[in-house]
Amino acid sequence: MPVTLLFITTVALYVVAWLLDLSSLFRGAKRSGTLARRLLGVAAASHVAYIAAEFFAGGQTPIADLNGTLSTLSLGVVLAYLLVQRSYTVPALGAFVTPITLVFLLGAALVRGVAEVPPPVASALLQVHIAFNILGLVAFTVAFAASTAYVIQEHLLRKKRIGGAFRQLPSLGVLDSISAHATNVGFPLLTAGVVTGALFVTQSSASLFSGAQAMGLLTWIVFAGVVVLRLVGGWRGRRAAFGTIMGFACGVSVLAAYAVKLGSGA
Amino acid sequence: MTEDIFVIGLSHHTAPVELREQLSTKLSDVGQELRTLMAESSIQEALLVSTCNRVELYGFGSPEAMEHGKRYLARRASVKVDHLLYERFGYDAVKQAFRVASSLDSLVVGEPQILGQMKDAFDVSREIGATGPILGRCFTHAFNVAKRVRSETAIAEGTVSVSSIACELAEKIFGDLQGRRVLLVGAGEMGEGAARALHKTGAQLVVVNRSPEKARELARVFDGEAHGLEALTAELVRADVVITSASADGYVLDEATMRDVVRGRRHRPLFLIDIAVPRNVDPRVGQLDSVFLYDVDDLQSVARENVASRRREAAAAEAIVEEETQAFLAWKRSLLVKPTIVALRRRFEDVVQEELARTLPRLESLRPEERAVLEKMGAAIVNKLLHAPVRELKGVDAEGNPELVAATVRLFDLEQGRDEPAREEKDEASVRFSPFRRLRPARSHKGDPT
Repeated sequence: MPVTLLFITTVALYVVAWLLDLSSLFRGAKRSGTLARRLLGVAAASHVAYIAAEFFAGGQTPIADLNGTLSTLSLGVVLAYLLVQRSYTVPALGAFVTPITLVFLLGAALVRGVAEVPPPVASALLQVHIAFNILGLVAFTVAFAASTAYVIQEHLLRKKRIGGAFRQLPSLGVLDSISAHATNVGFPLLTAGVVTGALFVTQSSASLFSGAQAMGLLTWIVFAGVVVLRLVGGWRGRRAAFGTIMGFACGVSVLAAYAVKLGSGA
Repeated sequence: MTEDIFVIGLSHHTAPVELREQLSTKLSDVGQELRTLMAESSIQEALLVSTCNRVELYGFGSPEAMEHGKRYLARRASVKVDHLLYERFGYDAVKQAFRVASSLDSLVVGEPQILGQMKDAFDVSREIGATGPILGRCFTHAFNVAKRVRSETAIAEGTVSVSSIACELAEKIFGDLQGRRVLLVGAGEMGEGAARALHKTGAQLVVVNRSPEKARELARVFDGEAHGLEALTAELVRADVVITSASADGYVLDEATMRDVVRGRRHRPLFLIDIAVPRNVDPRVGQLDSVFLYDVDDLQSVARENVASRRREAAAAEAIVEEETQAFLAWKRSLLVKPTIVALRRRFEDVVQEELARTLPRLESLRPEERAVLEKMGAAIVNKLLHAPVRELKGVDAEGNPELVAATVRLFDLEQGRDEPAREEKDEASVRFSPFRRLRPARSHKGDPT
């Protein structure tokens, strides 16, 4: 079956790219870093083919259900990372981004068929809501990866462990700037997602997602805090990184809440 | 007794500086030295690498030529140095060239200067025509090996001096250092060194000193600002990097002061480099938010760690050098194949010609067409007989099979060189089969030792 084959190919390519990234991070193998980046491009192409194949096989738009949403999110993260690579040369970041991509994609496979959205709930507004949230979460994933790398790099710098991974990781300044940019891009998208979500809930009779809604709001509050404190409070570096990591954790827990809710409700 | 690449020399591994400096030659004099050496010896190609850590004469020629090169080097020293000179021939010499270029033989493994020095030496030698096809190819190959080692291993990564480590760390904190403010407190020598290194990366220097004249003097050197001690706190708030190297009893920057400074900086990271002994900065300052404090011991332990990690990388680099040495030797062997085949063919054709010359006069009745047929037959026999041997000599990858080449030379007595009577009559040893000799360019300066 071509869909399954494409899925397995995509996953395998991501895994190999990640292993290459790790080898570049810990063993300083520059070649494997370059190779990982190219492979990630190939993996993204394979991922696009997989999503297209699913669409033609099932006839659903990619973001109609949780499986499609997670898969699209996963692809978005890779594309965003490749985009970031164009403006910053930070090959080591791949070691942080690729596993998240993988988790999203495998998570998508896990909820495949389980979490069908009931037809009355599926509407155009819901799709807009999902699309905004996916884009926002893509940006926050990049911010999260950069922030995680920041926390590790800062720890190494403080512990004076110079060498190995320290040498391969980008500078604190660059990591902080990537995190800040990504958060600034993600926040308005998330805001749009929250607004459309609220509209959707008021229009629809079904009140499906109360727990997830609360987490979604919390995610928005945390990121709003990070953005405002960066802007007004001069926050940067470790504090901002921890805020970003927390916000991302909230964002992911929204997805988890949906999965549980839809899984048990189906 | 074949000719090959050789090297004679001494380095920091084998000889103290007092001897190295006696043998060393300024780059501007190297050309003249090589001319003299080649005029008086049978060395066919030569190249002299002379740096503060090594003097090495690379050459191409026979073992006797190498011996001559050794005497030439040794007589420059005031004492007997023969026992200190290493001599390497063939494989070992090629490997030495590759290792030196890749900075594996350097005092500080991975340092980049040696490659430039070797390139300079190569340029001088090539300009005066002292490098020919063999050494030329060997050194071009060596430069490529060095490039490969640099890109495929981390041998050159991680600087090993305190100043450059300070720079490297600053870059790891801020990214680009262009336009960053570097504050130099005190006027210790090491502090100045670190400031100079940071200045080179485009950072802006600010000097604060108890003595304003001293501050101004230093600031002039770095094209920076100078202030007295009263401006210290304000400058600490503005700076990105602070280097302290004041001679003082007690801490110049205590925790309470720095706490206020950090508050004023609003989370901007501060890199504090305390180079002074005794220390200028209270170690507790390192615990403050957004402050990275490194003292002299920290920097030196980074240096040691970097040296150690370069050593670890050296193993991977040695593997590359070995692989490339083999590749180069394979190329060199392939040079032997073609002349051997030519000589073999000529040998066979000579035999045919001799026999024809002896036989044809006895067959007077033959018409010219019939003679032509006989001659053609002779050529055909040669071609048929040579077909398989030539194929085997060339080998699968056209690199040739060295044992077969040697066997062929011996079996068919190709070393006589009788087909080349017009050879240079410089010495007896050179009147023999030598495929390399044909590759050698004309040396116009020959016999002109000026």
